[in-house]
Parts: sequence; C-alpha cells; structure tokens
Amino acid sequence: MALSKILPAGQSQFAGARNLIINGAMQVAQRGTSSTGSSYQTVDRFFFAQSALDNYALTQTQQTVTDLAGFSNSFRITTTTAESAIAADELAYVAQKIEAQNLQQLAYGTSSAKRVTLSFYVKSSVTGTFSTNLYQVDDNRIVNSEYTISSANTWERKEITYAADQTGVIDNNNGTGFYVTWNLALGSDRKGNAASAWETQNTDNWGGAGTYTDAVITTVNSTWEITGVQLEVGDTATPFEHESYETTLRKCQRYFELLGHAASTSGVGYSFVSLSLNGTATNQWLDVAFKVEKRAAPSSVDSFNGYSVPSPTAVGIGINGFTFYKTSQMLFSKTGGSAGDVVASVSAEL
Amino acid sequence: MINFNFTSAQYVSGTDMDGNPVTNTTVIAVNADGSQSIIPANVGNEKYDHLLARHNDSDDDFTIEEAD
Repeated sequence: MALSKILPAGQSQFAGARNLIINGAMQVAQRGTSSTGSSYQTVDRFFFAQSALDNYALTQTQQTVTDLAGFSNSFRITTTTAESAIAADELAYVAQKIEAQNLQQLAYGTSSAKRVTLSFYVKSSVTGTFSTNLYQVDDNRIVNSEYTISSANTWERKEITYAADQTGVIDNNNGTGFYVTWNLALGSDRKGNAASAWETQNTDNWGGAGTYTDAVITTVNSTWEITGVQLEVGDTATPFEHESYETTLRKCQRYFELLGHAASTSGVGYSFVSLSLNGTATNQWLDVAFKVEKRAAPSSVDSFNGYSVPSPTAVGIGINGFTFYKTSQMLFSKTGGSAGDVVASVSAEL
Repeated sequence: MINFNFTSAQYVSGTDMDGNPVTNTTVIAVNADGSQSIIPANVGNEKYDHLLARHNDSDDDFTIEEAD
C-alpha cells in the first residue's frame, strides 16, 4: 500500500499557481535593468508612479540581491533628486495591477468573498511606517493597511491580510482588477481616513489614517526595494512560491513582449524578428506572431534600443500578432544598439 | 497607467495592391526618448486617440503631419 502524506491546504507540493502576483521574485526585466523614468521601465509588471511631484528624480532598477537567501533580484527605487516637501496633492507609489479575470476566485461582491494575504520582503535605507493598499478599479473600492520597517538596509518579511469585499464586484474581463500598492509618499489629500475594511475610494482614504514616512522620496540617495511578493487567497501567508524563469517570462509576455534580436554581429545590416526583408518586390507583407497571446491588442509597434522600425503603408495589430504592409522594400535598418539587442516591442500593459 | 510622451507624429502614405493611394491609415510617432511607434490610425486605438486629441486641441501646438 502506497504511503501518502496529507499537507495543509495550500502547502501541497502540487499546490502551484497560488500567487496572484506575476514576477514576484523580480527575475524578468524585459525592458532593461535600470531607468530614470517612471511607469513600467525595468522589472516586468511592476511600476513606479508619481503624481504632482515637483522636482523628484529617481532611478528604478532590477537589483541583484546577494543578502537574501533564495532570491537573486529585487525591484529598487533610488532617489536621485529629493522632493523638498510633500504637498497636499502629491503621491508616489510602487504597484502591480492584476488582471480582473484572474481575481474571479475571490468571489467579491458575494457573501462568499475571500480574504487575501500579501507577503513580501522589503529593505530600505529609511525606517518607519509605510502604507499599502488594494484598489479595486471596477467599483472604485479600496482597503488599506500598513507595515513598519524596523532596521535600515536589512531585509524584513511582511505579511498583511486584507478583508474580503462582499460589496464591490470585480468584472470578469481583461481590464484591471486590483492595484496592489506600496505607497512611498502621501500628501495630506491622500490620507487621513482609514479603510481597514473595503469602502468607496475617496482620495483621502487612499493611504489610510496612520503617520507614514515620506522619507524615501524626500531624502536624496535613499533606497526602497522589494522582492518575494506574493498575494494569495486566505488569511495565511505561505512561503514564496518560486517558479521557473520560463514560466514567469511567459506570464509577463501577456503584457509586454520584445520582438526579435539582431541577426547581424557586424553592427550593420537589417534585422527584425530574425527576419530580413530587403527585396525589391512590391506589395510586401510582414506577419509577426507573438510568442504569447496578449491581454489586449497592443496599440503600437515600438522601436527599441536604437533600432528604427520601417514606415509601413499600413499596419494591423491584434492580440496574436501584427502585419505590416508596404508597397516597396521593407527595410528594418539598424541605426544603433549592438548585436543581440532587441529591435522592437509591443505592450498590452494594464 | 500609461504615459504618452510623443514629440511628433506623421501619417504614412503609399498605395494598395492596385496602386490606389492609401493615406492616413498609419501614423509614425516619435517618443521623447527618440524611439518610434507605428500606430494604426483607428479611432479607439488609445495612442491614436491621444494623438488626435492633441492634434485637435487648439491650446496644443502638436499636430499630426500629413504624409509626405
């Protein structure tokens, strides 16, 4: 008779896919590893956002981690120009948006709504209390919480369980379901009212009612970084669910994908998605299939890393690929970058 | 949350298989970092809608240039 071992729910060796966050170990960074811009710039699916900051500047990086066992990368914010003070309407945060149809299991808007638990590792040069929240877009609902960093420049694991929402309904579609948000600066308009249970978002309950530090944003050279981010159903934080790089990459490519690499190693030539079109025939079509079906049809095909995308007569873009049409030579010329650099990208980010 | 930061845009011209002129179906836009975006000129495409709104905004000197 075979022996079997019964494990608690969610801890089975076959449990799998319990993390609602994509790229929580920060391993995939298709766009690059360092940027001075806001929005989606480095680590896939995570972005930095700011509103109304006057003189703030940052570097966001996919950081190599050597001091946290089991993790090799983090998503780091470094303040290069500090905001002198946080005015009432100012806001800065890091977030990941989760696709609505991936949250249907939470049964929000019903009496069966489930709680979720967020866990993550955080390290910062700044100690103090920070605000977090879940923001549900479809019904403009919010719940917030907080965590405290006790020791500077030391990895700390945080676990936060959020209440279930029996009122707000997350639409079953490919739009945004949740923002999972780590606030870094909150003007007075953005805080003051707690939302310990889900309620309508009214700006002043975005950040909660506590006393939160803005020092990451107001201190030059300060850093704040996270990794091992997991959001799971239930009120218990389980160990971070590691997955293969390939699995994570495929998940990320639903939202952003690089197309092709340079075929030439000499720094000249024409290349695009491992294909060169330099013929003289008229009526040329270039059909490019995406590796992964996109969340939605990308709104453009974008040049990348110094390559120039040709000027097609027409372009059609769908969730599975795109078509360029041109009546003459379709030249994809390399004007910069180096061999191996990617040529173009498409985005279907939330 | 998508930040568009286009500095210029121009329609593309060409002909179809029968040699008939094809205009205003595609826009080449240049981003602030110098990269290009190939954008279908379809209403409902968020980037084209953004460009068109700027083009039609009398307070914004941004225009979508006609094809060469």
